[in-house]
Amino acid sequence: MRVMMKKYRHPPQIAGWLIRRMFPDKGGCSTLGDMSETYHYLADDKGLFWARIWFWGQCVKAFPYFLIDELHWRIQMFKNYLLVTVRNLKKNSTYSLLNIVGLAVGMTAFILIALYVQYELSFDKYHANADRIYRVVREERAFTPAPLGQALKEKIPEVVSVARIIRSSNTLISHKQNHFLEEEFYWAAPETFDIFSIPFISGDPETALNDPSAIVLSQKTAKKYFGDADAMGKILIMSERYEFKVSGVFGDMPANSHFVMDVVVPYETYFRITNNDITNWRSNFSYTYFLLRKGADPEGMENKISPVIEIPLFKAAGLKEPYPKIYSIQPLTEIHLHSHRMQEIGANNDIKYIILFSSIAFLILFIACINYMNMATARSLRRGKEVGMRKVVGAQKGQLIVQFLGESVAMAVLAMIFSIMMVLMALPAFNSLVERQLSLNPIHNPQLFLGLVFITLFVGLFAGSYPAMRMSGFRPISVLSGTFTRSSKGSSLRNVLVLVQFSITIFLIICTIAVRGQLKFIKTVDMGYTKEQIITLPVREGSARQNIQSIKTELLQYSDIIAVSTSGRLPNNIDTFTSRDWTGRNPDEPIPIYYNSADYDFIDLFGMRIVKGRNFSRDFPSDETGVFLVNEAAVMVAEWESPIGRKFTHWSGETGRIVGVIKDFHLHSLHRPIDPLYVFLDTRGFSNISIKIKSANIPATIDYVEGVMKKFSPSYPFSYSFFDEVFERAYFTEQRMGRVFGAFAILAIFIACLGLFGLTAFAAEQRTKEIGIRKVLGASDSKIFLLLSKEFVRWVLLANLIAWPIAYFAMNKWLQNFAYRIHIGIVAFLISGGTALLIAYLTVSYQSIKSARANPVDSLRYE
Amino acid sequence: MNTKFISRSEEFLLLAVWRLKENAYGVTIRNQIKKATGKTWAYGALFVMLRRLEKKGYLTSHFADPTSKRGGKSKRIFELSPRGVKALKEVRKAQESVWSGIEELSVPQE
Repeated sequence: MRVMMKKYRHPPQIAGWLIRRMFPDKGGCSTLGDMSETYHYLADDKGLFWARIWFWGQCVKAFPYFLIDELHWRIQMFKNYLLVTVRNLKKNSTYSLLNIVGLAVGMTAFILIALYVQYELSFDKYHANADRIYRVVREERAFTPAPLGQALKEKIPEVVSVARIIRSSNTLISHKQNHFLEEEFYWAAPETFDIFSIPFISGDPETALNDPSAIVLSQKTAKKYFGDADAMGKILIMSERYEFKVSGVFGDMPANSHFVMDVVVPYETYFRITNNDITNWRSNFSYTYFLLRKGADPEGMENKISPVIEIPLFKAAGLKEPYPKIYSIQPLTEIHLHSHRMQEIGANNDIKYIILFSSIAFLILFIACINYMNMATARSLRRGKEVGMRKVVGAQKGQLIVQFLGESVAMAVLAMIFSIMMVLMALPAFNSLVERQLSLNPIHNPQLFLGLVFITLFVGLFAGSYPAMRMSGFRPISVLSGTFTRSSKGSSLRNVLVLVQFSITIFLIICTIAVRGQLKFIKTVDMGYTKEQIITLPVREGSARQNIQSIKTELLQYSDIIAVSTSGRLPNNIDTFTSRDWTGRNPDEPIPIYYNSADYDFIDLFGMRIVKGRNFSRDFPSDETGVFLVNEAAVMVAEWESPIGRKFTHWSGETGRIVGVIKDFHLHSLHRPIDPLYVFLDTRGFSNISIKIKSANIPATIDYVEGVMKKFSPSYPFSYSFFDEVFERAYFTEQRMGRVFGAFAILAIFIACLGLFGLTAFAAEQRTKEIGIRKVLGASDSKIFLLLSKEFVRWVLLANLIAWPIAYFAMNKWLQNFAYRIHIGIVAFLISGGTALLIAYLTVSYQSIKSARANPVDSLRYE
Repeated sequence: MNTKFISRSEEFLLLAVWRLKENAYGVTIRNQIKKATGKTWAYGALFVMLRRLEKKGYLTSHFADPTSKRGGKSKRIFELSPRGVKALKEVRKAQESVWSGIEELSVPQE
């Protein structure tokens, strides 16, 4: 039998190892044994080579079976997990609903804010060269002199191309009988279409603005004037005088641009029409954008402006050193959120608000997750037996963790589905709250889609992490033997979570109260002028200016019109100023002073008071030749003993006497202190007509005003605003913040209450027996009620102590933005604390009362 | 009867184990199936099926006889359990009743 005693031949090692990995067979490795045996026979029969090939072939063939098998058992387990999850959901439907709704509300808030933040961060990023486009700004202003652009291009090699832009909002454009006041009207250099990515639909962006009388329109504007007809070559009239020929139509600029152009005409034409000198360094009304050479260092470029452009100018003007550095550059993509200069091209947002809103979003999502953790751990007792059972039959801790995390992810998925529905329902309201057109459309926004998946997973895993860790750690012996009844360890952490939740909630309530308080203050504080029952009309054309006396007379004939006045600026926002030595003290140190031009009726119409001297008056014919009023701040800054009768010079060089001192009024928003101001009597040059009306029959009055205006400037569309609305518009960001805070504070309270409700329910359930015994021994209902509620109340009170200082600090910081502000009184804190406590109490009491009134017979019988 | 019938390949496997009596392990089972059906099974498939049948309770197994030909690895000897026998009887009964009365299977004539 020698043949049978052949030596054992080892099958291929690697293949053998693979087989062992795939089919471990509890250490026995019988599969490998079986295969080795066959290999052995094969080697005898056909030779070692074929045996090896066979062995490897078996190994490869085994792989799909291995995979299918693995999957098979996974699915078996998953089926079980799913079954248990669904059973749990059903069995504790209230609890599940609380949990899912809590998570869904948190996610909804998060998604809404995320949409908003994403949109705000996207501003101007769509330009192909966005990272190389910069804007030059001058000191605190966005305006730059006209010749600056030319100088940049000629003298600084890093600058590839420069675009100069002037905005003239409310410009009248006519086509036949169609007249429109164009809000987004721009004078722009041809390079504009080079630097910014504005795709043309017809016409050539290179040459469209070469002709001085060319006009380029956005698609929607072209449609407005010409309907579906081809706009190219058509004639448009600007301000009833200047003819422009359409030379191009471009696709509407996206709304997430810091300026959106609708009508564009050549930059140089502006100077021709207005008789301005394009080389004058004092003509400060252009925005200057440039394209930086690829790879050039923006900072190095910025440092060149001073020696190459500014200093030669200073020297030429005979100024002495040290020369101030007045120009700086800002990246295009940072303008919308980081630039807060005077004369911005449009209203910008503030990165501070973006950060603030993002923090709120995260806080609310956090509260929602805490809620889940809280309720899941509170519930863990019930699942104790299941965990014990699973462990006894061999479940590993890791498997249990996977199971519980899987459950929380399933919850998160359900919550996400709910939340998407809620977002869709809430979007219109939210859009009007933030004044944006946001949409939940994952097709246009693939990041959003990924984001939603990520949030779901994150919430599921984060909220599930703590309960999973805890529950998987249960010891089967104590769970199954029944000694595991109350977890005192878990309750302390749950209380901390309640504490955190309520701290955040109270913080948000205080913020809401403070912001509202400041807004109310803004509305009610004495600004020094009246805002009510005044309508204002913007005036931008000659015929109304020439006929102003007739207009005034006709308006005043109407019985419900009390007074009419014309002025350069309205009193709520006087932004024109001049910097020079007007105090007569120190010629080397110019002091800025704001100015406004107005007619005789301005002071009276706006209810301002003259504290010294007199108002402009028709009784003094000499007033016609030039007179001034100054405010108290100007007198104080100038340290004039007797301002009345002083000689004063207008910025344009006209001189006259100061005849009166106006009591200080807020000539800017309340963000800024009251600056020195003078008012110059000018009955011809004005941009606003203000009309004081009676409160009755306002629509009829407005109709009458419209009739009068149509008579004197027939082609101009009639537009008017109520002055108090104009006034409030200046506090738009604050109002928005107040509303957002309010809305999200309510959400936070809602989620926190859901959590508290769930927690009390379980606390009461856990203590059913205790309550029963207490009642049998004579405890009254109210005692039991106190017993159940006092614990939560204690934590809510403690939450106040945490939230108060943080909120105080945060809100004080915010209020610093205002030169005139409220002090956050103790009342705000008491109210917020009281509200939180009251809500917590109400939430808790439902359960507490229910358990307190329960019949002890039922509760003690439950075993 | 609530449980599902065992599949055809499960039936083959169980029968092979039954025929082999005490000597039913991977190599012999595979040979037996080849002898009976003419099909050669991959070891991967064989193992997966055997393990599943064991989990379902139709087979029991024990380790024995690590020979040198096997590189010192034990054989896993399989045995039919009472449940396995019952399952086989069930499919047989069903099979006979389904096939009863059919003498010869041919394509029906039009």
